[in-house]
Amino acid sequence: MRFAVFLASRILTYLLVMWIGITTVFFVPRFMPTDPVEAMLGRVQAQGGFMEVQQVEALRRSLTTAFGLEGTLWEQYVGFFRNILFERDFGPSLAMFPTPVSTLIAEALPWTLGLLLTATLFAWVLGNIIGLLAGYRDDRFYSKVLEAVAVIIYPIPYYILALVLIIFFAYLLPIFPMATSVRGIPGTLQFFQSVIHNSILPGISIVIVGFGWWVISMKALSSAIAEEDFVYFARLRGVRENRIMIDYVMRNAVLPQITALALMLGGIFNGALITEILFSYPGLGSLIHLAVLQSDYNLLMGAITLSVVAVATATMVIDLVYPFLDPRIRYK
Amino acid sequence: MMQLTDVKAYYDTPRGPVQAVDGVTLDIRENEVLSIAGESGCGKSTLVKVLYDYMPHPLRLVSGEILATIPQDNGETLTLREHEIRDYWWRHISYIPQASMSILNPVVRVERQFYDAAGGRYARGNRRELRKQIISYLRELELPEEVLTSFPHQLSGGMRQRVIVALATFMHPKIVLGDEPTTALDVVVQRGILTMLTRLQRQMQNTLVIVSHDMGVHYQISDRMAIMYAGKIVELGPTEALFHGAMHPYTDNLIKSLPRIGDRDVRTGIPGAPPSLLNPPKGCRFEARCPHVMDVCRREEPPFHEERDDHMVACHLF
Amino acid sequence: MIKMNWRLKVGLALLLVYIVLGFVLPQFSPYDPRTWNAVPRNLSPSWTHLLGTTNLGQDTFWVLTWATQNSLFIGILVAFFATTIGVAVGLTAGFKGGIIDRALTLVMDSFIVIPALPILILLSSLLRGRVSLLVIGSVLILFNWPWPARQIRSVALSLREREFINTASFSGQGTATIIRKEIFPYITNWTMANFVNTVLVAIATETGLAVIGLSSLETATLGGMIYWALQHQAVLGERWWWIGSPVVAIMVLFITLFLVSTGFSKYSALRRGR
Repeated sequence: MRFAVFLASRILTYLLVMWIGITTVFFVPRFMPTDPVEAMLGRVQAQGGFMEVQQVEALRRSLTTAFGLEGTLWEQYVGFFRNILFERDFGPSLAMFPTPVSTLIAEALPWTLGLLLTATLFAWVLGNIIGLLAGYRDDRFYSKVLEAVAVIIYPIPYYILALVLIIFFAYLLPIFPMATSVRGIPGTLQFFQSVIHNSILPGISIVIVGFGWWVISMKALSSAIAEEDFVYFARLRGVRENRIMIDYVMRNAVLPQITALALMLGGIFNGALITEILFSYPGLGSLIHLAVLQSDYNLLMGAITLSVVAVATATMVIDLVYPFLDPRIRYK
Repeated sequence: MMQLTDVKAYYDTPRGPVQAVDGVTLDIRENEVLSIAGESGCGKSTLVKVLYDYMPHPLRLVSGEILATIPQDNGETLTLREHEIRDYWWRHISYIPQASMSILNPVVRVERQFYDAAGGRYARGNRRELRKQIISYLRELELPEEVLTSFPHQLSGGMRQRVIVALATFMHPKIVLGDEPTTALDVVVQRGILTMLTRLQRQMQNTLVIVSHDMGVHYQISDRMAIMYAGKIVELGPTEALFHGAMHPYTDNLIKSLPRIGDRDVRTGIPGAPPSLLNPPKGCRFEARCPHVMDVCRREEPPFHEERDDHMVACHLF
Repeated sequence: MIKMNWRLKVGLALLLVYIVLGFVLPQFSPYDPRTWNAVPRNLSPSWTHLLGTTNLGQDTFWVLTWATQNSLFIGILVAFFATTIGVAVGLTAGFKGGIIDRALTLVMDSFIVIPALPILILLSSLLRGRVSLLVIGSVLILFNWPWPARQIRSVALSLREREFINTASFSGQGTATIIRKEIFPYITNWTMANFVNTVLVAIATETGLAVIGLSSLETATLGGMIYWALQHQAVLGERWWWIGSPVVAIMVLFITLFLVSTGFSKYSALRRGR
């Protein structure tokens, strides 16, 4: 019963998060002094030279429709939600007219998800293993060294590290490409190898910075749990040290780490967006960058809405899986 | 069963060694319930750790001999010295800790925690066999089978402590050490646990060593009793004899401080505090609080000797 | 007083260097950092130009001092307001309880998972470089108050159950007095650590935005320096002083803030006798 209440409240939060997030994305451009339609008209006129007044009016009308800026604010609001929820449609892209924004996003999403999920998961697992070793044996020399290294690396944002990595491993030592350029036909081995080759450097930057925090917090958690009564009693029962480390210390310490992962996903995503842009990695980040450079309003709104939805959904997935990992919540 | 000869175990601290167990000589017999009493900080818990050969830093065995002679099922006797005992944990010697909320791993089912202790002694294939044995043992102890599939937080405090006792005694160890096993439980539950412990001891005919600061617990279950004060055993004898003919003034005080039915006035504790174990007095350690203190008490340490039949004491009065 | 730990010592010392660099030195700047071609372009470090000059004809060192000032400014601004709002909301939620608590918690939990950067990108791309640091700061405040609010709420919840609060409220003290006298001593240490951490987060986010050219381009920040250096191919031109100075300055600044923040929480944990 209490579990049902828990589940219901989590789902309610999820819906609310989506609502607040999408509403924010909706209102930001509408409360700005700049009008995306006028901005676009200005660009077109600057590029295309003279236009008849009627032509300008016609273009203005069609842009207003394309941008979903027709009608009252409330009508726009309802229309915006309807398009997202039921049609999964953000209109056509202007930079790559007439490709729909949803197609562009669908092409970019696997790249972002592939890079981000792999790198984040890898960083999380690696960080927790190192943190566990460092925390469970916190009197050892290596555990102090590991912690010091983590403390130094952790606060540096991905994109700064990405820059340093680009300078060292793409420019000074040209092992990896400076910007992503994938070769081969999708589905072939060559394509796959090329994807991996191009993803290693951005991936490494996410892993190196990401895992520092997991080391630091896992070390703190596991050295605290190593002092718990149940670890003491397990030791006195003659349970072997490795088993104590895995089943007693790690199993308990990893639970808060899962919650922390859910809370930090937004921040991780922020960093990854910029990393993608720096590496010209063809994911959501680069798509957003392209939209900004080309003043592609629909693409921008679409990609940003999707970012918010993706992060909120991933967070909620972790939150919903959590009770199945922690028996204290499951069997209340 | 176990002989301790002049055992000294100190805690190394930055301010010097804390002499928590300082020259204890004690023999623990087969098939008996021995209880160790004393105020908190007198070294009784440390003594149990020494008996159990669990001496993590900063605790250190300074000197003395520990000898365990454990009768085997095949009739032979296993002789263990200090630092060998830990290899036989759970199998021949086991430990029951004080009850607490987090004495069992909160995220693992009880069943698994039984297996963990079995460690490598049971290969994976024998899990089912082991499970059967555990279930029949639980039934013997009148514990429901469901505790196995439960998580610790689903059990009541009393049930958790029963599970702990079951865990500790499952292998029918020859020695069971209980360090305040009933402290922090309510009175009714306490009684239940004590009954369970004594019943098990009678069935298994093994040795039960219980540490408690609660004199009532000692009176209820023990055959022999040791009184500890400031790192030393000051009196040791059959429980009955000790309760009715205490020799050491400290023992006398402890027993007198017990409430009795029909009491009118409030009972007072012993005035004063135990000496610092960093720098204990040269003579008798109780001299500062003793009502019968003499000159010799301040100069010389009283020898621990047999004064009456099987009743030892360390006091200059005797 | 308990001895300060190494993190706090090193962190505070480095922080002092940054404060001098950012708030004292710019007063003595011989050139306006915004003017281009004030000095010869692309010079290597020398006594007259400590960190060389940029492709735009600016003195790297003096631009760096101005950029440090602006970066620190936005960090402190955001941290101050986010922490104040967070503490106020957290205390309200924790002490009022009931429906107010549930509503506030829901809002906090929602804001925590929304990634701030995409919203900021949307905002600044619409404003096309005319976005000011204040606007960026406001959005960062909007996304950074829920974290301290959440933490303070749980502290408030646990404090509410403690005896001395009950004693205080029975003895007729008002809520405000109780909070000031009984609660603040408990949360100041945590709040300080959170403050420093928020400075770090705010600077990191602004830098990220600036690196891709979407922060204020008129006000030099450390991220903005990196943007200009990248735009003018400082890497390909091997002008390491130009690109390297802001990168190193940011890395060390982040490490500094992190050391202060964790050092402070360790220090206060010790003082509380944990």
